[in-house]
Amino acid sequence: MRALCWHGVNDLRVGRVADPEILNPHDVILRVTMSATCGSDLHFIDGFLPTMREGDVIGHEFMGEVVETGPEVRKVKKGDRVVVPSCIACGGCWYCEHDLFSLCDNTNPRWELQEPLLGYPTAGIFGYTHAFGGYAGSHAEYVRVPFADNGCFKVPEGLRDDQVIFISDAVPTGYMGADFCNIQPGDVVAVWGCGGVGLMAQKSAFLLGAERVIAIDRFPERLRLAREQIGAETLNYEEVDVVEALREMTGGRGPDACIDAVGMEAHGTTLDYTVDRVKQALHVVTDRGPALRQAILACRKGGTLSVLGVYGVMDTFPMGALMNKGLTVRTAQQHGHHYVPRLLELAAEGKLDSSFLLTHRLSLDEAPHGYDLFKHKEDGCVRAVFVP
Amino acid sequence: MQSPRVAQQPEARIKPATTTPLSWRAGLEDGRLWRAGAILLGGALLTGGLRRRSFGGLVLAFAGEELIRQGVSGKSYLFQAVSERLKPGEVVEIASAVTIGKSADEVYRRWRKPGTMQQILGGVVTVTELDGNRAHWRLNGPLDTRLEWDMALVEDRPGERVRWKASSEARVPVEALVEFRAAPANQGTEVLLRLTMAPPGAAIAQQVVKVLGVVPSAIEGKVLRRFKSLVETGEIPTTRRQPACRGDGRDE
Repeated sequence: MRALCWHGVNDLRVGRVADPEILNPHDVILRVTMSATCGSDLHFIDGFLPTMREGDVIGHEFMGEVVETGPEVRKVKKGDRVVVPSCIACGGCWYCEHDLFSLCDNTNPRWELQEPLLGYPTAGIFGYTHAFGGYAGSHAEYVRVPFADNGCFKVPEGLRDDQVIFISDAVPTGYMGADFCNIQPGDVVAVWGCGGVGLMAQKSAFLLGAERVIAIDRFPERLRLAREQIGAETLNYEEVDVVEALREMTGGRGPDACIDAVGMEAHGTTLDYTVDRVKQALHVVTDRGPALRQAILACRKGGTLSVLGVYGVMDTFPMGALMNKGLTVRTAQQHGHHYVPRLLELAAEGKLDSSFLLTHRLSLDEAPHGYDLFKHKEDGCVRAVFVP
Repeated sequence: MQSPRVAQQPEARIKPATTTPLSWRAGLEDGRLWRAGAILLGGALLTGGLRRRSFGGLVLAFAGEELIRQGVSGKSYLFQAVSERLKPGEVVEIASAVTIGKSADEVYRRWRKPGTMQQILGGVVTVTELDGNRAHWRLNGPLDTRLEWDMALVEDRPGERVRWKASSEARVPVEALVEFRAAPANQGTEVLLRLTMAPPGAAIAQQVVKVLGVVPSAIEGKVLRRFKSLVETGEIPTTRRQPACRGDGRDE
């Protein structure tokens, strides 16, 4: 089959690979009908997340049709149209039983690569480095899905693919980020980043009862989406001092919750960004942190910091501000399995339409170009999606 | 997973190398050629091992790392071990633990079930069960190292502990103790695996200790994690034979 493979830093190519097979009794094979680009792919494409191998099939936000099922698969059947969260979870371990699906104990065959960095290994993720299991990704004609009964969610009738695809990752990640904020009536939520996850975090904050949502980015077209599609107020950090502006907009209190939907390749305008950029270019550090630092400084005393952006070994952020202001920090890779059923309901009821994120629909053969558009935010690209 | 009770890696327990050149290395200028070769070979093993993405590959990688260290330092624990006797009674001990969400009896039964060990260690070790109380082990190490020995069950308390010991004629003086304890708040069973290796004087056995000595913690971790997944889910996570743009389009 054809698949998009990583061959090195900024070197993606479509190549021919073997078709996936059922390897374990709870596996299914999907024929991929849509597979999307995601900002966290950029970290290993740019060479800042280690443990990629030449020839890895990438992609982790996808949906498709079941074409083959393993002997122990009970709920999913051939022909089912399903959407799959990006983290792989067994459904039976202590973490899965406590709805902490991205921390599953039983789906990372390469635990020894993660343990030294994290202390304990996490769940595997499709197409996302060998530290996260080394599973072949979804930018391909077919993909193998382990623990399918737990990871495949049937799509309700009447929803188009473009209304469903982002319920694989961008929507549950954003929704989880807003859920972490424990939103109370009257709350103001500030969100750094207006990509797919940031916009969905903003939308979810409103769905969960936020009074106001303030979106922060530097690309005018993305800020416009936040205003027009979500109803958020917007700040362009290249034009204003974000911390000061937020203080002013919130009567001097600061936002009740701050969501970082940017992560380790943040861009900034201040000295700390320049220093991080130089260090990252020299590979002295892997992470850049202006968005995270701003979110910590801007947050009101006793507020919540919700981190959705992916970090590698980030260890330079204002711990003093975090500690002395008594912030609550909530973070995780998305526990998609916990949120997807509810999100499919919301989509079916017409209360959550994420299809506007899909700005570029391309064939799989055009995938390298799709990543170029997506990475450089060219042509107003928010998310490029591949139809194999 | 490494238990805090383990203070030292096995290397730390083995006396530093002497500089006495071994006979087959004599004549090489200060062993420099050998060292360069060791670094090259070690590098190849390390990268090759990491590429193989399998448990066997992990063993290769560890062996490669050891060779590089020898090449860089000019010290070889391996050859020193062959040429020197360790102090009698010097013992290498490694322990790790994992919690499995099932009852101690169920976990114990699975551990004792014939074939379980083979399923967990497939590829690097071949375990042939001779009868309920004896098993023949064959370890396929790096560089065609092959070790074979018999293990005998010396203690068996259902749901509590199992102890296996290498038979007296085995050249691998290893003992494995597995203990099962109830985890707090109904979280299942804590499984503790403790490997003890007592190096005897025989040069070949010392080499064995070294071959094993660079990987026991990895072996332990792998054994326990794979066992846990098997008990909790009925399968061991794998990416073997999956599509990749390498070789013939799939991983080995």
